[in-house]
Amino acid sequence: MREESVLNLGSALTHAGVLKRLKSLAPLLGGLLALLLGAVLLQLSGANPLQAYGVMLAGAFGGGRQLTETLLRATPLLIIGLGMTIAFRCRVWNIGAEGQYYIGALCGSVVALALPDLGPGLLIPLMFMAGILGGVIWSGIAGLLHLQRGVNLIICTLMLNYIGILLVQYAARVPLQQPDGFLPESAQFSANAQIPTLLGTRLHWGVLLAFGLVGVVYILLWQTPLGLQLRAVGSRLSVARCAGINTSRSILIALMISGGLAGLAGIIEVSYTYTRLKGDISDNFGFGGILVALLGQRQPVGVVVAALLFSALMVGAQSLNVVLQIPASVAQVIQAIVVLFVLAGQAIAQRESL
Amino acid sequence: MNFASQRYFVLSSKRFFHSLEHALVSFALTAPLMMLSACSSTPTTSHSPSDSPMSADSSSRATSNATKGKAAKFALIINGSPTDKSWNQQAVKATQALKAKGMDVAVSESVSPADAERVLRQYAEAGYGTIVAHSFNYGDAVFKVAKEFPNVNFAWAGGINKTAANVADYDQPFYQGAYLVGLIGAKLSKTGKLGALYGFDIPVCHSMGEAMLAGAKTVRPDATLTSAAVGNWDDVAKAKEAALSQAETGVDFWIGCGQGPTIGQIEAAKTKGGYATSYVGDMSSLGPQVVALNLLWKIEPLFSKMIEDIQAKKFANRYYKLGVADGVIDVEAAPGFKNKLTREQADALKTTRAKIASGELTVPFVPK
Repeated sequence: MREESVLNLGSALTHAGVLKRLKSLAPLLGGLLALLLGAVLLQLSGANPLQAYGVMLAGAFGGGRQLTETLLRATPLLIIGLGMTIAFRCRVWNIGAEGQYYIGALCGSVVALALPDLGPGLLIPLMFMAGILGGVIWSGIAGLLHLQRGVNLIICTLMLNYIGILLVQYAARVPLQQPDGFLPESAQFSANAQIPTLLGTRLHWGVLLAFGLVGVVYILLWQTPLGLQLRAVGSRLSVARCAGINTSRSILIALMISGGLAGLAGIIEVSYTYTRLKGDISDNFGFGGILVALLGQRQPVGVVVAALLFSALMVGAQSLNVVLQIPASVAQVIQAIVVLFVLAGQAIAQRESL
Repeated sequence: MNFASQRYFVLSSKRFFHSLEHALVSFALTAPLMMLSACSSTPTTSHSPSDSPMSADSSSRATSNATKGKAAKFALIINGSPTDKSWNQQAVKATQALKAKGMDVAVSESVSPADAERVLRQYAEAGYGTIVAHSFNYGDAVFKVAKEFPNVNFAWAGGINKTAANVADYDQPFYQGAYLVGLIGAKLSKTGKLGALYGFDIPVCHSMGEAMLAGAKTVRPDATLTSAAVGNWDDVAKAKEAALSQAETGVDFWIGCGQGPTIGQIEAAKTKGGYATSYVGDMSSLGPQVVALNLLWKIEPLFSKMIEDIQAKKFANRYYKLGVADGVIDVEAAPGFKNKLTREQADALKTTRAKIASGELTVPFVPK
């Protein structure tokens, strides 16, 4: 399979034809075009586009605090996006990250609530493992249905989202509900079960872990026999099979890794942001993570860029509204246009001819 | 998905299989996914553009004592749309009243609980002296941020008397209004079977159904109550099914707790006949023929009381329980029903409301 570099900027310099160079810049041009369109929208809603973009930029990257918020928001997207990168490299269309995220959060929460007095050094790794296990099991169910019974994987993973989310809502309302409470939520986690922050900032260990995973995923995909197998299966199933690769096993592994990472993202978010299990513990991170993997061209470093872009768009759009009285929908539309145009640009860049 | 794949196939007859797959994913997956994530993921805001140092850097943190000096700035954070005809709209309406009085007011709409902490902090740093988080889902974020900003006053819609030195809680005693609804419901219902649908069977909701029954029994001793919890605040389809099955058992008058349950009841009443009650705001435009009463939560006096207490330095650990007596909870005939209530019914509403307000009558609070 051809290796695409991030936004194809690197390869642009080596290509001979100007046309090709332009083509490889298509995602970037798409992004710029989207911002231009957004400027028209901003103008129409009565704001100065330049000022508005300045506010968005400052809101997402303007200082230590803003950068922190952008990093925090990017963390679940990055972890899920990395998992999806592995799945998509193997051409496993797992769109059940949302459900796997919820089940991971549920399993981790059970540990957090059961062992509140365990030291954080032991409790948090245990919670993480439970979260990963939850995601692995949830994606594994879809994998077995797909491989054993031939059920379409996309439908399988998609439907398991709903079951997973409803299961968590039930858990938060009945078995795990706070004993003396009446709201549909568990008791707040003990301080031991909340991920510690780093050196007095709002950043936590989960953020470091997410960035560490970038290297792990890269090595796994490109430096190990397993990675080669996964990519071979993704690149041409029949060839991989002829080469003696157990394709079913590869598909299941890719699915379970992506599920496990989604589960990890779930328990990290619940432990740090929500500090208790509730029925609503995600801002569509599971779906955002899929987008991030695609935007990042299924390259670990690309996924980092995409997760930060996605997160910055969200955080920046919020500032835009806090500061400039821009209607809610305008900021949402700008976000969506940027993502859509960058993706379209990527599709153009990957065409063999213009 | 079919459409996208076919379309792409036409465009790309000579392309490699992998790029076909790639495009399939791009087109087929991202379009719906993006709509999903774009629809509900953006926390959004609108407010007066006057003076909002959005990039209030960490340097200015904690130095501004916003409650002193010029008129305190007031921020409201809501979970959904400001035009929901209910919970959120009523709160936004209250802030507009404050604005008319000359206060500097900001509103952030559709703030996901995942973003609450950031938005709260942003307002606190921007010098807002009073920040109201209008959902019980914001509780944890409020208490966390409140610790960092001891000079900023926070309030949250907990309704469970959980407060702190700079965090007030405010109750939603809808049950008091539900009693009044029962007086009229008992008369409007042909069968005497009243229905209640709750988002969740929590005290705020449970007490509504019970209070409605208590009110109904005063005029119709054989009145009965059928109640159910939908398990969700906004699933209208599910709520409608629940309301329809209540209708099967003879229920023809409803009260709802939560927007979804209430809209579901209005829809059910439209198909099966019967009457429904608006929740928190005037929802009668959703079913002018079937919405008989509006159970209103007029939030402006609540917010004004908070500001008053803050100025008098009496805000610490306050738990606000403003109801019928304070003009915060009220019941009125829906616009289309103003002329349909008999004089007797209108009088009963008026006198009983006065009795509750004066303390002569205490509406029973049955939380479980």
